[in-house]
Amino acid sequence: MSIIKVAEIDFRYKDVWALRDVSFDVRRGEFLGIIGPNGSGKTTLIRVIDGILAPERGDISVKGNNIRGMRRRDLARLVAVVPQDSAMIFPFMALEIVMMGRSPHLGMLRFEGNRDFEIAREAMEMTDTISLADRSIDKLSGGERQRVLIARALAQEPEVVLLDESTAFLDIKHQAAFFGLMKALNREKGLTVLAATHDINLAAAYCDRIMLLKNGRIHSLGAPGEVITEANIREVYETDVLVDANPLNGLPRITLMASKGKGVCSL
Amino acid sequence: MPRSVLPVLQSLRFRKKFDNFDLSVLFRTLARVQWCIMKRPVVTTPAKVARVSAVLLIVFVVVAVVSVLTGTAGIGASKVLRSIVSGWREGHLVLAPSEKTILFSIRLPRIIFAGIVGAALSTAGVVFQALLRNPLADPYILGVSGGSAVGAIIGIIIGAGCVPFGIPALAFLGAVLTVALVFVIGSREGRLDSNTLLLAGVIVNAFFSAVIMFFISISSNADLHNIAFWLMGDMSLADGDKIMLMGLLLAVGTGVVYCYARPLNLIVAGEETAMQLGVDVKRTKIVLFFAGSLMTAVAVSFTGIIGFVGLVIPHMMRMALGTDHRLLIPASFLFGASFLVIADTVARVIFPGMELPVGVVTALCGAPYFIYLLRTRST
Repeated sequence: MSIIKVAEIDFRYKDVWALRDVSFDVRRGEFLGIIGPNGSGKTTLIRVIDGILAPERGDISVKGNNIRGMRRRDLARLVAVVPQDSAMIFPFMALEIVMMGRSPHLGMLRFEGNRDFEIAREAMEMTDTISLADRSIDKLSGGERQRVLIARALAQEPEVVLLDESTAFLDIKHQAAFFGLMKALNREKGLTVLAATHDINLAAAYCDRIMLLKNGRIHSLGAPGEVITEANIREVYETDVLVDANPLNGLPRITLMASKGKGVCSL
Repeated sequence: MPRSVLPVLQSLRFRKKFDNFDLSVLFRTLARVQWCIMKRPVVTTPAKVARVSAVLLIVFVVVAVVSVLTGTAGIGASKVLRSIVSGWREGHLVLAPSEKTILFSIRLPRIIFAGIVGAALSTAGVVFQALLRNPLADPYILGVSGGSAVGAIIGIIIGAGCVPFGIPALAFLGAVLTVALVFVIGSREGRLDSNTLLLAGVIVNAFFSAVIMFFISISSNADLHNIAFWLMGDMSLADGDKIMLMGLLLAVGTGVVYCYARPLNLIVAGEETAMQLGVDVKRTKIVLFFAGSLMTAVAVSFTGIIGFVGLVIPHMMRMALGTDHRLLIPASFLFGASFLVIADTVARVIFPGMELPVGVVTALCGAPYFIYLLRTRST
């Protein structure tokens, strides 16, 4: 059963088309990766699905409701986003950040109640951030900050989590920990995850299906083994790569061929 | 401390000899204890808002009472206390009619007036700093001050002072027209863009300061004194009608702003973040910019340009209480009121026989404090 239906989306910034005729379904409980070169439309797609950008044409529905004309509060109860990074001019404490996730569930002048704190505590327990609760967000490391942002997304009690290149600023240890945690939540809580990422190997290792975008169009969509092939990558990224099977799990693995100026430097 | 015990326990969990004893229960209990200790100082509860507000309200009352009893007319605390004590015995206050007039018709209205203006400017300051996500923003940043000054100066020159509410009305008109102009410049496709708004405000203010200079250079000596006093903030025009009008508008404005306290927290965290967390950012920004501008316009129209209150008080409260606007708004409201009453009292009494514009006092205290803030913030 599909939880998100994207139907024939066109989107443009002024006169540059960012998405053309994008249609796909996301199944409930699926972990879908979105890969593609810079400017291929990954982030735009995430923002269109979250209703921050309105498409020129086409419809998006979440759980059968068209998000056009949906109140932001209602959408925020279904869909949460973990952003790339979050810079703040006036710093909040980590716990305050996580409690912000309760906002779509609260009325205008309502303060958070015991149930909200219980949900925040669970979210922070899952992301191992309880010991950071009283620390200021600008004093945390990149990895800690991303865990706090995951906790905030979980506190929203969403059914879908969108990752907008959430691991772009993390080192490999924290990248693996981040995707490991998202995978665990996906398996154990049935959370649907859409992950836009630059890291093809990470996507191959953790995603059930992968969407490859090229110039705002879906180039291919399917299991990692079907999408991540030498031919596809060469066509979309205009870069020569070697694709072989990861000896640990048999999933596709890419290696950049940076030899002889061809490939990486042929831009 | 639970924080240091936890890692040790975590490592114990994996040792074989503890297998028969389930440490995870203990571990979870400790995490709960740790959670409760952490949570208490961080979160804003209605009780905390009430507690902080009560303390700051008491501060305001004390400041107001001291201010009523301070002045150059020789009606000090001891005399008033004596008259209250003797009045208790004899059944009526033993004060000369002139003394009563000074206390209740001159000083008291002025104190309430200063309180209202201080509260309005500080609350508007909190709103603008949050909406523009700029720690340097103040209530005048969108050009309200420049616009109302031009209105007031035109009023002074054409002699609108003889009509009741003449000069304030013209100042208010100038402020409202300016805000409308800045909003038109700063809106793109129906939404207000913070950076464009900021730039528009700065430019409009620069333009109006040239207009002000022009009027000053062509005006007579008699008008010049009035203009100078207006430009630096004049509190001496307090009366009952103005207090009622301003008090009402301030109450409405602050009420509206407080309803948006939680969305304001989210907007501080980023406009896109706020949208992702369910805030209707477009509507919130329009309502809050409008409420903040209106509060500022009203305050400026009646008193002239009192600087630094709306910039410094929000920073002081944020440093003391954190960034949660559900606490920050009432705290800035109350402390801003106290601050301006103190500044106005100083302006009244520091040089016997003459009165300083209150804006001079706030800027003289405010500027060094702001430099101190800038120097310590970077560490």
